[in-house]
Amino acid sequence: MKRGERVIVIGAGHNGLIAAGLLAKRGLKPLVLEARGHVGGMMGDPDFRLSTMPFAVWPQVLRALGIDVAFEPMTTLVPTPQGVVGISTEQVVGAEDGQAAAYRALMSRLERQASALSGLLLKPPPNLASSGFGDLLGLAGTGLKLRGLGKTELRDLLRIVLSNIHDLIEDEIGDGPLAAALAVDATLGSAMGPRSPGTVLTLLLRMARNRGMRVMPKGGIDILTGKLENAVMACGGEIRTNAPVERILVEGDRVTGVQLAGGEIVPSAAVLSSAAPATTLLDLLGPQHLDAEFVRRCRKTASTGMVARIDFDLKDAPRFSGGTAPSGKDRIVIAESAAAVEAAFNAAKYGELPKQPVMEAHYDDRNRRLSVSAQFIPCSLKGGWKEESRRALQRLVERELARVFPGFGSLAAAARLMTAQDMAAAYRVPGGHWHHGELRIDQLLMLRPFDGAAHYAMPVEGLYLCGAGAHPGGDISGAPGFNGAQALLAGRRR
Amino acid sequence: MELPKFGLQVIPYESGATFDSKDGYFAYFSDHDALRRELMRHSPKDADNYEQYARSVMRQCKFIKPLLMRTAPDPVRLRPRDVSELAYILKRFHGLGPREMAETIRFWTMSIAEYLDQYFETSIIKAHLAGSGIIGTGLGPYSPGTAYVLLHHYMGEVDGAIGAWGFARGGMGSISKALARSFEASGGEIRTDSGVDRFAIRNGKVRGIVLENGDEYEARTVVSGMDVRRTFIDHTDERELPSDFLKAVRRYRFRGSSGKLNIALDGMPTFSGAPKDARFLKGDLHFLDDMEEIERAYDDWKAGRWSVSPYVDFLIPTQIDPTMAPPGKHYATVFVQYAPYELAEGQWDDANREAFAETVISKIARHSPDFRKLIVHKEVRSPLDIERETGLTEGNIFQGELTFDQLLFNRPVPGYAQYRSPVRGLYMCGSSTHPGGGVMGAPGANAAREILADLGHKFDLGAAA
Amino acid sequence: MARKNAKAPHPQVAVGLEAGPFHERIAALNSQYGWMDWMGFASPSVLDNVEFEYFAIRNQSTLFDISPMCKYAIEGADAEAVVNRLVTRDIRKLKPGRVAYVIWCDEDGNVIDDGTVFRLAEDRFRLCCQEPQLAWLEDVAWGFDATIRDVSREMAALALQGPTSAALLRALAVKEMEQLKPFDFAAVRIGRKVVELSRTGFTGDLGYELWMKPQDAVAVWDDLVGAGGQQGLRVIGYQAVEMARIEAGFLLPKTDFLSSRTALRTDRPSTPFELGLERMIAFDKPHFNGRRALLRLAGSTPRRRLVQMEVGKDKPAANALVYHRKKKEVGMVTSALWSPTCKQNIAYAWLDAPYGETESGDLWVEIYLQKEIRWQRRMERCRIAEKPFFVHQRRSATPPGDY
Repeated sequence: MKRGERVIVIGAGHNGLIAAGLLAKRGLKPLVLEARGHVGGMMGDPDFRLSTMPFAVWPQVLRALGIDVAFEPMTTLVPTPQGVVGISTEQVVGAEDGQAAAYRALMSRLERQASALSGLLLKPPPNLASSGFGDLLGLAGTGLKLRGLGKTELRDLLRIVLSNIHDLIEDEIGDGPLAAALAVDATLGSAMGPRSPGTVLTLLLRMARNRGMRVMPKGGIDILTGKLENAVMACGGEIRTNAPVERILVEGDRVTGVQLAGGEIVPSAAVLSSAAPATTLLDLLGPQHLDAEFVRRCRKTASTGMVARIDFDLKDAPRFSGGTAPSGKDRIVIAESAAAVEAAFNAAKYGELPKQPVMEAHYDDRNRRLSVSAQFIPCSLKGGWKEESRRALQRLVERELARVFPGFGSLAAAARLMTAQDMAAAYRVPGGHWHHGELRIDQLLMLRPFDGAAHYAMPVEGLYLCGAGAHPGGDISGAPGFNGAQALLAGRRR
Repeated sequence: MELPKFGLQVIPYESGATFDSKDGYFAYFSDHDALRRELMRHSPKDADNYEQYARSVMRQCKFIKPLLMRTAPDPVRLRPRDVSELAYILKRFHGLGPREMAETIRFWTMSIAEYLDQYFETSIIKAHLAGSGIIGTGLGPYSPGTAYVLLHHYMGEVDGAIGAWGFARGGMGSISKALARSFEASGGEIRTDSGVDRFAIRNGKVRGIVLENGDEYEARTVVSGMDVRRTFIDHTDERELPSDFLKAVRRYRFRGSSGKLNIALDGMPTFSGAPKDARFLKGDLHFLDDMEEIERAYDDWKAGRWSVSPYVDFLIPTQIDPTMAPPGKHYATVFVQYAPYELAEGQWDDANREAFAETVISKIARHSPDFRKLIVHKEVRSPLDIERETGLTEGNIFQGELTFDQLLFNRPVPGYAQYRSPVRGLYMCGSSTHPGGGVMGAPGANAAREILADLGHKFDLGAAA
Repeated sequence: MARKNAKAPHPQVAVGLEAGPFHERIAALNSQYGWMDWMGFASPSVLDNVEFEYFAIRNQSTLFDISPMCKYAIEGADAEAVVNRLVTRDIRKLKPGRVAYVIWCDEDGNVIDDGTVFRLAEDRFRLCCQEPQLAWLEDVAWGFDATIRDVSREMAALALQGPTSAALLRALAVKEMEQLKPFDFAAVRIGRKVVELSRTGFTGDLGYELWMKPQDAVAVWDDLVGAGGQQGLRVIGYQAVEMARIEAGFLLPKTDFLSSRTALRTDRPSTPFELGLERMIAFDKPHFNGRRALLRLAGSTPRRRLVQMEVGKDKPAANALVYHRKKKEVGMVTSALWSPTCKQNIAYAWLDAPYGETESGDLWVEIYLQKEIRWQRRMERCRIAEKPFFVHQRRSATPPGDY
């Protein structure tokens, strides 16, 4: 593409902004079209603050954008009837000594294994197509890099990599609050329980950045959103909110631009979409431009959201039964044990509300706001989401919060609820899935979002994916946005 | 091994069925046209997609079959043989072409439920097919990794027909008898009622075995068909073993998940959902509405209970092999999934065994009104009973879970997946070695090849088969 | 414990072959008791004598039951778009009342199947083919405003083929027949039944196919057979059809090529270029399945090619291997026949590139002959033929003659 040429970026979520920022830096004129009224996507929603998704944007990505954000590590608090267990970078407090030691030993082993895997993430996935054998060897090369781990840990990694977090917990630390935190990290946002094979890999992927620790941008999430936005604008990019794209326009098997909901046509030689793959390909582009097998694989992608977001405006700070209040630097995990996480998943498998949802919460002490991600709350509830079931869910969440924060019922002044189904509608994500598609081994690397669509460039020339549905997937990593923009800049074609 | 010469006769599998709770049924026929008509009856689309499904499973069987009859490479040590073996696998994999490579990765990692959802829309068809993904495992149909388990049930081969199932005339025991006769004819010797007490080991080398009755046998090579836990934890002095090996063996998972009922019947039971003269009653029968029912059965097992509504594999073999019962009488074998090895509450005592049997019988009786009154005698086997009776630890029929952490170079434990153990001369050849249970005889044949290689002999599997 | 049975259990499906709509009539004539499995239906292989049946195709007229074919109705506002997305030809050019021979491909440009498309109206099509395609059609139609219905069992069909077939229809006072050009179809009356008559077939000669409701099948059959005496009408079995098919240059799935939907080995399917059907691809129409892969393939030499060959002497080269200079194995024969009409030994064969492309001389087939329980091997010279072996001008003359 030539300098100064217009590129449309669909969606102003963090991946869309990162992609646009990179293109702007390289002299293109990105125009970001955002359907909603705010930038930042799920991360920037003013009504729903992220409780604590891993805020680990790859440092390389921020460097490429020239953005400087300081991140503060968060402390994970797991309230138990015996008191609050705290997990920070330096120490584990409040847990039984033997368990804490076993936990720390396990975590440092996993960190090493995760960082050995991390080389796969900030570049396009290997290619199984024509030049495939070389790529397979390349993959084997990553294997050689893995050999840096030493024989014992490499053997261990090869054993656990497709295994489940439940077995690892059983072998290494035993169930309890630390296990609960680990089980939540391995399953958050996905439709898998701790016993589901593959959950160790989800955990390792998360740990590939920041050693798995949760961090928060200094000054809050909006700082990060704002800087990403500025990176686009500063180099001549443009962002339009309330500008939902209705169609991607094609002529002669080439993208020619987009049509907005109001009918306005915006011409452009390339379109990068950070919207979910199914939304981009089936709704905006349309199956008529694609082969039937490709469409089928896209339709059959697993994408069942399991998280409901609830934000409470509080009259006062919530307090644990010991009397302390969480600070803005704390991430609260509400789950008794890994077994309880599995039990919560049981009900959700059948489209039912769990008796005890697993929760992650963050309290913003400046705004007196408690943001909760409740998991496993199925996107398609049996009988459908009605006013009654929404109230039932809210009561359930309040009851669980009251167990952790005595007297919580009288603290809440207002509450807003967003189920996975609401997310599906608001962000046009099938199933309302955080990661735009399950982060599971059969939907990772060259199989993400699905076979034949893994290398950012789509079959219609000029169309690229750059959202969480593309490799390496969700959370706030920015890697799909970065990789997608690189693919466009390299002029990579299928 | 010339088993037919030594008395093995196989009766081919013809059909089977799943009944739903509304007395509907789906019948499976080995006859292609009949199966297609039956699928069409439920859904013309499923009938079409069945061909795609069958082809996909067949391709996976074809891909993996040769790998099972070979020793798994060690990806960490990477000696020349491991490198060439890895290259062989990589080359085979690459030879599949990009689409099939992707399909293979997906197949190896997906859940059986999702795999079937890709092809079928009818609940009872999916329920019927899903059984093969979970039988004998500690996983539910929604668990990733269960699509692969399917292969362990489809891998059978009768006269070169991949995926063919057969019944051994005279019961499955006749296979062991034929194997034993063949072995003896080649000059081998078998001692029964000779339980092993321990392996005699000196200076890291095996010297022989000591029997429970005190008899001792000297041998420089000893092969254990027992699972890895029995071999090394129960029958080996642990001071002879490295600690990381011991830790790995202790971690090895069995997780028995199935129970068994053997029922003597006074006559042939009738099934309210079966049409007159249904020939599929001769095959395996299941009683299920959908895959969710199996998953819920699995949830019970996770919590340490037997399933309230278990997955049942019911067969009356006396219909096709009358040698097994007196005239007019029948015998039913009922395989029940899931039953835990250890109950969360109470023990596997007579009362619980009876209650477990009642759960199963009442499920069958809901579909067969006369079943209960035809029962003359029954034997009930919990996973614990199966362990005590057969020596299968925790009652696991595969001698250990078939999850990725216990497959290929991880089976039974990483670093010892090539049939050798840390003790020189002591080998493993049971189903807890690669490729695991359900693949008739493969671990034994692979182990024999490794042993012969160590002893300086060549071994041609083709000639031996 | 047993619950009350609300309804009787569904009877068990038939095991073995099913009887089609004409079965009674065909069975009465099947003195050889020869049946084959065609999509689960009993289809006659030979009724009395394959030679007489074959010559009836070439000299008189013949009836062959083609009811087991798969038939699908594609209807709705987007029906044209769906069919156009399915097949490689530009179906927008097909007018109502016309039939087109079509092929369709998968995303890799491999052929899934071939068949015929009938355009019944602007928004109604029917697809006839050999292999079940319902699931595939549903995939192709996903996201479009069109419905797919399997109408295989809602229609009986007969092939009426041979030089005197028009005369036979004339004898039955089927006037519409006079204007029917090849690949036209129209609703006509045979006796008291309305049938759809298409001027289509597989013999390279004058011929028709008749499509009707299964309940009308026997009546139509009786009318045709009753009027056919003068034209030498003969009911025939599959073996004779197969001979005419090879002469006329039509490919048979599972024999000459494998559908990419059924092939077990991933290198077995073939592209339109390999099958010599590249003329059927309309690259200038909107996107259709496999278009991008076909565009890529168009720029490269096919790995192999299916060719028609003339073989020396008179022994059919069935299952034979093809050699270059009698030494190097370069291909294999799929269909072979001593053509009684062309008086020629003919065959279809796969040749690996560059044979059949740039290297087409000095080719040989290796024929095995059994002479009284002794096998003999014979190398016979073969030559690539450019056109179908048998296409008669009668095939396209309109109005058709009586012959």
